[in-house]
Amino acid sequence: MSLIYAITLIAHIVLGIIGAIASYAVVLFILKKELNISKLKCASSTAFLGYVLSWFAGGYYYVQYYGDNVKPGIKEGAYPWAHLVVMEAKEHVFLILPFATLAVAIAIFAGSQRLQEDRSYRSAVTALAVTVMVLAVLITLSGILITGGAR
Amino acid sequence: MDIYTFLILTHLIGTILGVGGATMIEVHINKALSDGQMSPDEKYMMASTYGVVRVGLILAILSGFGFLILYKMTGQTFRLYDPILWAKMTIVMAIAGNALLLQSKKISLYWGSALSFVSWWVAAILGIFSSNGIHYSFLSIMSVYVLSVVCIAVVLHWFRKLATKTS
Repeated sequence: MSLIYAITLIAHIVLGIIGAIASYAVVLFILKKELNISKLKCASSTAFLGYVLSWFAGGYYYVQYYGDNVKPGIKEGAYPWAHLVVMEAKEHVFLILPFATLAVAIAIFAGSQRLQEDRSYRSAVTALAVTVMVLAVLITLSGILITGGAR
Repeated sequence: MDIYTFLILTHLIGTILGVGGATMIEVHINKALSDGQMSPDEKYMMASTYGVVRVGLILAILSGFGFLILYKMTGQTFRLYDPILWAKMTIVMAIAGNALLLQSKKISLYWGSALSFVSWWVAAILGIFSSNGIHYSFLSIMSVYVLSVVCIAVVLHWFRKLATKTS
């Protein structure tokens, strides 16, 4: 693997992890009795930025390197499901994640006052934030399975 | 310092902060509940210790993924299917999920404190197993883990009752 592909893969992983940790922080902060809006804004925008940048890094690596060099090895190896099932699911679910995270960030930025006063609004944003966090964890685990399947 | 040594150090620091913090939380809870109420000082102490545990968790997660990247770059991807690795990740997810449940008061102190305490200790012990080449199946590890949570929950509850009685 050349240096550029190694860097894009590492960037994809690290930025994705930062996004997942920030998504977890959003849920943790939104569950607190007293809301800290500035922390929520910081965590939600970090999550969004992390996913978008991870998305581009991962996309570049997938198109330029994975398809020709990694995918055939996985499909012919002992764990073909790592690509046929896990990667196929991951690449589709990952399409949704930045948009869902953007929706959480907009709900926090635009509705910060409502978030503190309207319980049903807060519940809806919490539900979306939890969904984003769960998806992020599943995508992270998928990445580990796919990487492990390439031997 | 090479990358591997840096990752080992960071992972160890994270684990020490997590295990130490989780243990100290139990000590603080016992002390705080001995007089039936939690003073502002005790609340502050608990919040600080939770902060230390969170820093430990983040360091352990980031360095853990550092290891995974290193395995990929050095052609050791077979390690990513190690049952101990998956057991550790499951337990780390239990720690993170438990923190959210405690925050939203969706789990009682009885189960929440036992889950946090046991998870950190088991994750640390699994790390020792992993670095010493000791292997067990995912199911065996998780069975012992669940059993430990149940047993430790009883023991911690007994300690809390004892602390309340002796005050």
